[in-house]
Amino acid sequence: MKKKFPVLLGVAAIMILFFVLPLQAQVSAVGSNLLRIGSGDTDDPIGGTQKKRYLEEIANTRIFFDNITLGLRYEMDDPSEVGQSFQGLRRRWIEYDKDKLHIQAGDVSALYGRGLAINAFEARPLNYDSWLDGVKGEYEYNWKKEDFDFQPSLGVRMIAGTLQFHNVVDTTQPVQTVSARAANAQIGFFGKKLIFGSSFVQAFTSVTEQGISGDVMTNREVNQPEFYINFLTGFMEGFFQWTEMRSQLTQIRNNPDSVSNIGHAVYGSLSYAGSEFGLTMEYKNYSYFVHQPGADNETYLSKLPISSPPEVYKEFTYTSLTRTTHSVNFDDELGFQIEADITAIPTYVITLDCAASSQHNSYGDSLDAKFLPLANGSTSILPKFTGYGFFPFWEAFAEIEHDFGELNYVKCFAHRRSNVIAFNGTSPDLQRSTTIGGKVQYQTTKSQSLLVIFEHQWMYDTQKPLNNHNLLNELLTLQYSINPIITFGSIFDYSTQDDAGRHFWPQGFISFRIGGSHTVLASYGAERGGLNCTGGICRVVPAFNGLRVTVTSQL
Amino acid sequence: MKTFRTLFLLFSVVFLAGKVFGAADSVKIVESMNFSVTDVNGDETNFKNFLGKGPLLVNFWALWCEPCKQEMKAFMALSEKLKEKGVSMVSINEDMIKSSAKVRAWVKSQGITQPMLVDPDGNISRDRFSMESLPYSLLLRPDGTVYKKHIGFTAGDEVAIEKELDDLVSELSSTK
Repeated sequence: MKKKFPVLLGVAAIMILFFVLPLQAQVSAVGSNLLRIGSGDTDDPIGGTQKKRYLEEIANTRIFFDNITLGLRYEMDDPSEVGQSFQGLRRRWIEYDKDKLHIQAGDVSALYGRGLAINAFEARPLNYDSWLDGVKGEYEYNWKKEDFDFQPSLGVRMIAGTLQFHNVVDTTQPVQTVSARAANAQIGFFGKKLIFGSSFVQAFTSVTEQGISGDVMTNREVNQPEFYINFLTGFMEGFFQWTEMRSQLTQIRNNPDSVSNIGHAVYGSLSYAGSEFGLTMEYKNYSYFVHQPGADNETYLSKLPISSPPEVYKEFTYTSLTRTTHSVNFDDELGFQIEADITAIPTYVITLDCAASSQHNSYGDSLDAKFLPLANGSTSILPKFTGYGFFPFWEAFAEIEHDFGELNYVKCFAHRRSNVIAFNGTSPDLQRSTTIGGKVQYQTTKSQSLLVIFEHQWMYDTQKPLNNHNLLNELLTLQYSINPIITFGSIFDYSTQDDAGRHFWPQGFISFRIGGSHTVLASYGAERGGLNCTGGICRVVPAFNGLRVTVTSQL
Repeated sequence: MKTFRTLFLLFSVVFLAGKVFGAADSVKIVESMNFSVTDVNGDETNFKNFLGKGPLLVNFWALWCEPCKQEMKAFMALSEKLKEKGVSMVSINEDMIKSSAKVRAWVKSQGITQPMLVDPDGNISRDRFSMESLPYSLLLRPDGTVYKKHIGFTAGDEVAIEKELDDLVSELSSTK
């Protein structure tokens, strides 16, 4: 009965909202549905394979009547593909929206500035969720130009709620309970082309772990102010944000205690947007909790789960580049990214990008020492590459695209990356790769097209067996579309390095569109494992061999 | 077995709901299009201002979504071709706010001329238009009702969309 009730309640609620409310006057509604099914094998932690099946059903609806919106999301994981399974109403909220006043109760998300203090968001592919269960409100007032030449505006926002946070990066971490409240004010000038903003967050976190004689609890109080400024002119845009996170542990594993930490984070961006050239430069300096490896209380003093600043590197679409990308250490990392888009030559688009980062300190080479010495010093402004202890990361990317004909194009790219993933004081886990590739789309008829993607990667990976750190990876994707109904193709993934007993991962896929509102995508075959990252938050996704079906409906 | 029973029930609800919305499309829902939006230059306007003139093509896109950019290119050509018939276009960017500078630089460098709105928190796509995945596009009647929706884009789709636009233009002319 306990299990059945939420399911029936969810179905009943959706039925009422879909059928009854839309019949009332002045009511409109939107809905969507996502069904994902998978059945096959996956790698297990000890090098073998195990059965893997998942079923995820997600139904969303939003009902609008006058200024009020009801939102519902019903989820049924049996189980989910990654992370915690869930069955029941995952989201439910009611919001009031009139003129510039917005009030929402239930499940709420928020983003202040670039998210250094508040960025409560969800990344469904990672099963990452930092939405709060609570309330939020926003109000904005804009003075007219007739009143003031400099068109000032004032906006205030607040959010308060609780969260049960499941760590997706390190799934062995205990669940963290967060109770937070935050307020934000923004003053804008010249039609919000110049904005000054400030926020204050107060949060209480609690971690319950298994102790020797029962559960033990660690509590923390966080007070976090922040400031930011944003300007926008015809060609230039600039943004700068600073925050200070003051953490105080008030109870450590059931013992009253007082340990504090003051961390900071800075993010800035400057961009130029011209008709033939666009340039964006970003800088990050995140030191929410800089600490030695194995330091006391390191589990409890990290950045809040409701904070999520920019990752400051390019999010690629090429599979080889995303599979081994950089996982950001938000507690201790500084770096930059520069990206240029050049369109000065007709029918050509050139993209150039580079990014680099490191940790602030390089610690010593003794595994046993309680307090490790600073081996190669520290850095506070720019990333440092003088030792593996800094966990240096850098990459450079160049791509050129040429359009020939209406939607026909050819793209070529080259990419080089170096990334230290771990360092135990003597030898690093290091990945270096050089990747080249291309993509061609060609319309064979007015309504049919062929897409070919090829990627070739030379890789040096110290995590591979000692006698063979070098490997080659090849990826070929062939896709043919007969519009508007069907798309089908194959992916051929090959590596010279044996990976869980495999060198070759072939896969076929087919996609049907039913009307404009439904698509069915089915794939069968083997998929190589790797990282799945969103916003610098990365989760290792194991290899999969079997059938996947995804049905997407937008109503 | 229980799982499949529940799943079947959910499916029935969702697909039947599709029928309800099919009928609701003919109801004027222009009031729900009365919401403020921000363009890539930081200027605010009301989404309603894009309606009322003729068929409106709406394409949702993001920098990381290659087919979305293809779709935008195809729609730009279509709206230019059918401009005299009253067809217009608006694009809505779905990148997160941290990418706003890159979006602006990319839009300017590509010479894109249609209104370019930004929707960094998904309020427009998710809350107003029920977007589940990209690419996603809509063909709206002048009163804001949805004439057609499209999930996904591959080269050649523009042929079918052009036909739909022609049909909508004919429908609108016949009701005048």
